[in-house]
Amino acid sequence: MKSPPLGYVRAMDMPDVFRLRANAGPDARVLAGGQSLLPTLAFRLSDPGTLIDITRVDALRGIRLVADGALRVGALTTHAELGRDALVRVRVPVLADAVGLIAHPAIRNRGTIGGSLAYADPAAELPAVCVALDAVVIAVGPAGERRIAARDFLTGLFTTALAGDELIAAVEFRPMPGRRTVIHELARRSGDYAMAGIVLAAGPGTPTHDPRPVFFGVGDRPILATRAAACLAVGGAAALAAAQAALDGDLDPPSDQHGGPAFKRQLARVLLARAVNSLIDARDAR
Amino acid sequence: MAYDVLPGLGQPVRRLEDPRLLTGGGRFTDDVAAPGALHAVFVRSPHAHATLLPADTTDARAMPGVVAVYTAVDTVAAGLGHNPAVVEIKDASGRRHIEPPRLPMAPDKVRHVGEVVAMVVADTLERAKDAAELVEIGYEPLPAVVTGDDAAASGAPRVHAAAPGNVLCDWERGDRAAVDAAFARAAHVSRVRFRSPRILASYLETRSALATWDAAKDQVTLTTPSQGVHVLQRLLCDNILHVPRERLRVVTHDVGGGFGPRLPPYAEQSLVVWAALTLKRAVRWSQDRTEHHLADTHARDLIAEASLALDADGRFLAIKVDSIANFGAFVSTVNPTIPTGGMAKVLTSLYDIPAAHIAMRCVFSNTAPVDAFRGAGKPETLVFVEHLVDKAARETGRDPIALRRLNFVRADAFPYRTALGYRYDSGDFARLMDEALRVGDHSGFATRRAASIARGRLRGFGVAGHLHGSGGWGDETSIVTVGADGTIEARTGTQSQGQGHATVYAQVLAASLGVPVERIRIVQGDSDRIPRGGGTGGSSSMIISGTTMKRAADVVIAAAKDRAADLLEAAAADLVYDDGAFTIVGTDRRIGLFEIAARAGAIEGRADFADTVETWPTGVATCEVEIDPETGSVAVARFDAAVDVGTVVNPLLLAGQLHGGYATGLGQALMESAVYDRESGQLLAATLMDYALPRADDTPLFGHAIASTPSPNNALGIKGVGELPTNGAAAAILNAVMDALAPLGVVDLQLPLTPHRVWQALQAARRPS
Ligand SMILES: Cc1cc2nc3c(=O)[nH]c(=O)nc-3n(C[C@H](O)[C@H](O)[C@H](O)COP(=O)(O)OP(=O)(O)OC[C@H]3O[C@@H](n4cnc5c(N)ncnc54)[C@H](O)[C@@H]3O)c2cc1C
Repeated sequence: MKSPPLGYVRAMDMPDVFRLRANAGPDARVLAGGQSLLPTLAFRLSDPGTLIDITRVDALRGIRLVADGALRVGALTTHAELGRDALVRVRVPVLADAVGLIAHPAIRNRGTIGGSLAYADPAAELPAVCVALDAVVIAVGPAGERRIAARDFLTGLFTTALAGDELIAAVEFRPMPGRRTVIHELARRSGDYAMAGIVLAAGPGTPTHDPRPVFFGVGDRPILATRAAACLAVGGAAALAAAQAALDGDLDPPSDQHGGPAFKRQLARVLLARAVNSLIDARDAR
Repeated sequence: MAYDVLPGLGQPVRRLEDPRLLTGGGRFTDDVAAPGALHAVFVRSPHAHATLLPADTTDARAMPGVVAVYTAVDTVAAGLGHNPAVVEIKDASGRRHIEPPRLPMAPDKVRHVGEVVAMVVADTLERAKDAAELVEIGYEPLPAVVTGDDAAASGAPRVHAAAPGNVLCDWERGDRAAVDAAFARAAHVSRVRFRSPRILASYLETRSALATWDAAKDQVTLTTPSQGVHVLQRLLCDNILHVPRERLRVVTHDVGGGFGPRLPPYAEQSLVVWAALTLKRAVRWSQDRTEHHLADTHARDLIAEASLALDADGRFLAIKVDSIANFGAFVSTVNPTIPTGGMAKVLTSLYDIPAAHIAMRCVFSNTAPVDAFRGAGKPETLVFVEHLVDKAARETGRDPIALRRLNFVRADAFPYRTALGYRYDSGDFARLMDEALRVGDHSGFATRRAASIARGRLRGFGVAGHLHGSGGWGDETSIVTVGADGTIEARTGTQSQGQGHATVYAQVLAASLGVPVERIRIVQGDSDRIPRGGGTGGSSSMIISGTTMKRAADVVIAAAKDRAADLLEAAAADLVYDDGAFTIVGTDRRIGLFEIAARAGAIEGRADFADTVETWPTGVATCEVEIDPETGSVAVARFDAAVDVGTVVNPLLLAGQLHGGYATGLGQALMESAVYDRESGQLLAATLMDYALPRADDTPLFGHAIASTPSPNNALGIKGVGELPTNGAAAAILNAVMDALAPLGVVDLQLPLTPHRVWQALQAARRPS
């Protein structure tokens, strides 16, 4: 097991990144935490020719509040940083909750939110959180910045809306007063990629207010279950069962090593119920 | 519990090796510096089954830093030989198993993914890897067969021309006529069909080999993690490399886990030694994790259909098994006796079953060779036997615990001869059951189940009787030397792979000689310094080295006595040895063992193993699982056992062995499965992302109670404990899961008990038929 022969260059700032990229050609990849990229190289699933290390680029770092009250999380923010950041805890606590479900400490110490979004693994937690919270991905290229809604950014299995010369600079989470979000997943073992997972955002007020259930690990990207959401919004005793049934229309899960479509649908139904109940429990507890 | 054979044993001494290992003082093969050593990389077959065409190594040879590229053409020309099995089985007509040649590199065909087809030797590892990619091997792919039943089916692709129908031995054991007669008069017959998943060893330290060349001695030293240097030296020299043993010294330092698959010699070891002999330079290799998955021996690949006959009172009349053991592509070192003898040893479990019969077709397939792994044929057997007992209880409306008690071999029946000819040495199974139910808090189960049900979960309680018959080679000379420097060195031919031999052997010597354990240093793993040894395998090292060291210590005392007499100017007959010193009877004049050595020179005592390797540790395990019926996920909530392990030398190390063994069984029950693709013959579990090992939070806090009876088979009353816990763990877990699911209509379940499989079984049971 060994990478193909590779060139390695380190960028010190954004102009550097663009220049090195232009020189290295279209196959070159940027290297962030390396926790997805390096294994794919070792398995020979990709052969980028050159790696451009972006981990020294300060412009891609940092967690801060920006003008409109949004929380801006730099692409190089590691999962571990996300998990312990005070601002994140207050503003977007579900991000920190999600971190506890990602892999193990060693991987969280290196893996980044930018890398996770760019890699676009359909079973990954952070992309699903971004879709549920309607986050905005800030892409930056030689021509400037683009703001892309997370749900438009993730276009399919391991694919995104990033252009070849673009980079993820940051992700922005708008303030959503009174809205609560929970994340649940079913994994074979602690730290494993989920067999299936859900991020459910709702509120302000009751869980039936503008519910946004986003599933991961059951499709080619995080999937906003719009039919189920509509059923939940109706409220009442039968809402959950109706929403669970509606998932059949929202989801078309592929088979994977954990099981077939029927099993995945079942897990999605279970997760929906658990997420809804935990929103209710959380409200009751207050 | 210690017996008075050797007062002083049984102390919870902390492992003497741990301060060193925990502070980075470990010395594993890869830690051994060898300046200037060349690096070997192996090219492996990507095909499960293919005819080999001539190889082209020109480009690889031309790469910078490459010293040599070898293929089968070279190793055949050099006459490298067959890696033989060291045990054999025979069919009913007395014909030995078929054992086709297993050469370091196959000249004609490859028979499993990962088989070595070329070796590249270069000055750096990276250069060797780069060059390895340029070795061109031509393959003409052939259809492959990977499961035991597919291999045994008519028209299956043939793995070896010498083995028609892929059968290497049609093995049988037991009295078929007696079994048939018992089944004919049975009041009830229960049946199970069982497929044991194939599992991997997953030692922390992957395999490696360093061969250094000593020009002056014309000798190669192979440093490699092993379960015993002497077996390796013998097979490498006598069978594979054809060099005199003096030309190959085999050394093993610290070992990061063995479990069985570390015992056989592998192609890589012989090729690295051969390259060092040929190039007259040091050559080293170390395995990556995927190579471990592809190329080390696998285990437990068994299919069985078993039935149990009961009379109207619930007494077991007979048990019979029809099975297929998948040996993989070759007959590995000790595998002939693993699925076969391993099953036979424990088929009747703790029960008095008057008749038993096994019919086992041993077959080749296009998969990595299968061989012993912790339990060695017994865990998979006990899974279906103990499942069968539970099933019989359910089908006849009996309590599974009462049914077991009814059928236990009685405490006054020892030594007890089993229907398959083994002699259980000692035991008290009713007491084991009592203790197991106590430590497993069986009486609290109903309350815990009610709590689980209140949370929407299912809960099951399972028990499993289990046992082990310790085996291995008592090929031991222990040499104990009391040095003039106040230390004792003890050399032995068994090999720790992490178990803590240095501690428990020191305890035996400390108790025998009346000296502090800290004074004792255990030396193992060097074919130059240790005259002979059978290595470690079969849960017998404490029996083999422990009893022999005790004897060697007695020789030391005898040898020291005359010197003590001289030094004390007394008659030897007037001296007594006690607490590390000789005293003249009736006086306070004494001289210590170390003082004798300091004044009169080192004292050596040697002894050969003179006991019986076989002992029968037994246990009853209890397990509680909680199952989420919505997702099928199984959590092991409790796991406890009562064990009869004979004399306990060190309760801490005993607990460690038990915990590790239970965790191993838990992995096998819940998640581990080295599956090959049925069409392509590719291993689908080639990395640890695809092969699930249990994590800390998958295991409960293990509890155990000791209910020992000393073994009469050796002087210290010890029973071998390493494999016992593994043998019963998966069985208890499956029984607990079935206890939870059977009321819902689930009849059978296969391992591993993945969420998907459990959920599917529940769905199928709920569906109106
Ligand atoms: C054993 C293991 C278990 C894991 N388990 C989980 C899990 O349970 N859940 C989970 O979500 N993840 C898991 N991961 C993946 C981990 O979270 C990765 O860190 C993450 O997916 C990628 O982040 P990275 O910074 O390491 O990216 P890298 O590996 O460096 O890059 C990944 C890809 O993204 C591109 N890229 C990186 N940064 C940018 C950027 N700013 N702009 C544009 N492109 C960029 C790279 O070019 C590359 O193509 C696991 C990884 C391992 C090794």
